[in-house]
Amino acid sequence: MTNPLFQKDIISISEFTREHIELVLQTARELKEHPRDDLLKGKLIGVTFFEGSTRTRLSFETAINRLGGRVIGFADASNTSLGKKGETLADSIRIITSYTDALVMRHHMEGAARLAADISPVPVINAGDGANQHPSQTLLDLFTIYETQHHLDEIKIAFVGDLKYGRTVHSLAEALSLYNARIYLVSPESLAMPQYILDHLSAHNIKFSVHPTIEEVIPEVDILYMTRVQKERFDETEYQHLRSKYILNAAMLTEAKSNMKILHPLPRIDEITLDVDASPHAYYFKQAANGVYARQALLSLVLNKEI
Amino acid sequence: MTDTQISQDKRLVEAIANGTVIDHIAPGQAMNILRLFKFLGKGKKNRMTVGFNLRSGDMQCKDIIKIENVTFSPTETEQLAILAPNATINQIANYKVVDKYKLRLPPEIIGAFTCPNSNCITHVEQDATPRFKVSKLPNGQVMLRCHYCERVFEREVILKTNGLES
Repeated sequence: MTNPLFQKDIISISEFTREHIELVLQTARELKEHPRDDLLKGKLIGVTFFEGSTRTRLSFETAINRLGGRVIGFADASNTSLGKKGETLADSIRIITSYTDALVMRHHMEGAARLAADISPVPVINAGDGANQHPSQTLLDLFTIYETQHHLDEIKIAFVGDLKYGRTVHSLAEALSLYNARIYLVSPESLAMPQYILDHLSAHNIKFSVHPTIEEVIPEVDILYMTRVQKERFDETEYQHLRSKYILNAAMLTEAKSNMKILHPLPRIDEITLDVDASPHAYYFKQAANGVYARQALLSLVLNKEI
Repeated sequence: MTDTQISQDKRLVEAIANGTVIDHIAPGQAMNILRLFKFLGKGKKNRMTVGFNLRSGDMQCKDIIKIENVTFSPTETEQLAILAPNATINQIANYKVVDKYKLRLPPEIIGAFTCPNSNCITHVEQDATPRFKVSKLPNGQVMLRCHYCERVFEREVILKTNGLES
């Protein structure tokens, strides 16, 4: 039977059903346990990063190489016809997708991946379009939550830090609304979760609450999802004041449940102190490693009728 | 309402030779439609008559606009529907109504409004024609979701961004 993601564009997590998510997670698990080097054999994938992102690009390229595929592309657009000669994005996409079997694309403008998908004859995988979507990040987050908790339904998860601009938390919250999650929100008031996300959660009967400190949610949750509060969004005095509230250190973890894991989309700057790394709760580096398996799963499903 | 008043309002609608009468506009919305005409370049040389707060049989009050020698394309009609969702369009030829229909919110609106998100790809790529899915919340609030950047905007935000404050 043809898998439902075969030849499909992967642009937004909002287009995923529970069945799609579970298919990706199951495939990622199988590929992690039983690596395959043949699923992209003979396939050429365009990996085009119009905006730089080292971890995401290397993770996709690793996934493609591990599966036996080959890669063409670029790590930033400054040296391309688009960057240097003023070619439109649409024309660049038309050319690149005439060479390749699929396109992985990152771009700084929201909607760029959708435009690419609308004009590309081959599947497009969105590796991040501005502040909008980054579906492979959401899928690797879900894979990691499943791996550590053995279920997704009714997960108790706290989102900490920049909830206003962080597309990672927006998309993950949206995906978890399919799983009746209990969501705890911890952020400065000026970086609170946008109203439209809260409306989405309410529409799906997802229970959420807002908390002023990390400490009060730590004993409650299965997943503590940390994000970076960006220094440049505040003046120095305000930032120093916030630091104490939104920085996690090892001493704060004494009340955590034994199954609780700390995730972070990385890069981590100073919101998780180094002493947390040795804690059994720390899982963010394994989460980053899982990015390869989640992306292997996506690419395999998009380019193979059956696996 | 007296028969004379109804007759006066009716004459106002019927007095056009060729063009379009937009009737049953919610009171106060006619000004915004005039802004849309300006936006579309419709109002430049064509004679227009605007009636504010006229008495109406089925509405307490309504606005009416008649504009001579102008018809509206499907895209422009969608724009009108976002501004005046319950208005009626009367197409007039030789003093007669040759077509009449009520405006309805379209499920999708293409090429009519620019996206309020300044970082949306529609602002830099000609191939990305602004496109919004239209929906209505249970409280009646009309929302538009950009096909490209996926942001969801209240109708009023879209109108304001396009210089058509409601």
